[in-house]
Amino acid sequence: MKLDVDLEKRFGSFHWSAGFSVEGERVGVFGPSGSGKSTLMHMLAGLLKPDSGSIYLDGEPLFDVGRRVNLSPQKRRIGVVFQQAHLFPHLGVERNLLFGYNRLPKEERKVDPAALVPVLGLEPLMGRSVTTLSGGERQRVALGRTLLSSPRLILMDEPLTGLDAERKYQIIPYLKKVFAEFGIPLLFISHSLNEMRLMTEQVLELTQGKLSAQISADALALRRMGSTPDGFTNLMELRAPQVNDGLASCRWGEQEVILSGVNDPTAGMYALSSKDITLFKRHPEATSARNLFRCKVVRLFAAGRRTGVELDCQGQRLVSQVVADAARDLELVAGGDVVAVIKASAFRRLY
Amino acid sequence: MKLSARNSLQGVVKTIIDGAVNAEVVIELPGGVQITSIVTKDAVTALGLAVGKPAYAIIKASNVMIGVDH
Repeated sequence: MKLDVDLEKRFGSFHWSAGFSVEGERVGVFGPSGSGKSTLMHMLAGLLKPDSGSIYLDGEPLFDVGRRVNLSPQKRRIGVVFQQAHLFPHLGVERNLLFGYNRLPKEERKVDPAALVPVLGLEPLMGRSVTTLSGGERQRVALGRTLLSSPRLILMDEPLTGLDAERKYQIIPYLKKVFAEFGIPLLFISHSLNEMRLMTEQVLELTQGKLSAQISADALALRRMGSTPDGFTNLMELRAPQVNDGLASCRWGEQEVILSGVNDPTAGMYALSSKDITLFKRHPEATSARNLFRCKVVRLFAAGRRTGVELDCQGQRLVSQVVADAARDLELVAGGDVVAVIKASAFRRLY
Repeated sequence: MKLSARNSLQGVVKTIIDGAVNAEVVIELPGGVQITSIVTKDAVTALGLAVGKPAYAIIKASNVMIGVDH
């Protein structure tokens, strides 16, 4: 997908004024409430008319004031998945799914329902009424329905925000699989950096209706590390879980990670805050923490009033944060050796 | 022991209460202040923790909350 946008829109005291050119299959739009994310989405989908400017998708004008082009939402063929899955309550799961598909001329049908249903894990839901579905299941049906209408681009507006914290990330593997498999480009709108890092290749950051950055989600998270109370979230893919006496051990690259407090551990994505990693200059003789990783310091960087420390743990990256005094006391320098110490209870399962 | 955590408080183990996986270890600091820690039972064994033995409570500066009385 190639998207070229240059738009102005005023309403009340809000002024959207931004242009960008982005190429990629999974693009994120990030910013706090009121930054203009939804305004952008509505203008792209044709639900809100800009005051001036242009929108080009793959070189074709969807909107261009100069050329008097303003395609209707139907003609733009952009699929939208909102925060609340707007399913038809009087139709079952299957008829919701096929709603757009059945109304599409045969030659425009690009996604086969029989192929899509297993990728979204919808087989067990097919006979159900949509009123009995959980939030995550509703979102999967809504996404399936949108995909089956064969759009040129899908906009997802905070699709995980309405889901409960415990399970919101479980939908991510489905999303990743479906977008990889069916080759439909995605514009993913969210105020969550973790979602951005899991779902997108690059991010447009909006601040008060203006574009403030266009970078990778990972770089954005590192840059914002100093200004968020949660620090930086290390996303760790853990494999081959085994349970011994209630403690789980998993493989992380070449190493073993011990975790506790995770019921029924499975392979998947786990989160570890930069705040929960303590650095030791030498291997400590004894500590209660169950994880000790020998690391090389890759680089030090300023993170607000703290120092961010990027580490290489035998090929795996970890980012820790320490106060500036600690960086001095430990004589941390790029290329130096340290031991990263992490409690077994510090890991949180995402999916 | 050189480490990045800013708070390394030496005390004496006062109590150890075992749970299924974890143990609650209370360390008493000089002056009688007590700090409670949750560690795995494996850690209690590995460190040879026992009531009366000296130990350090290690806390990162970013993990200390502050409260005041009003």
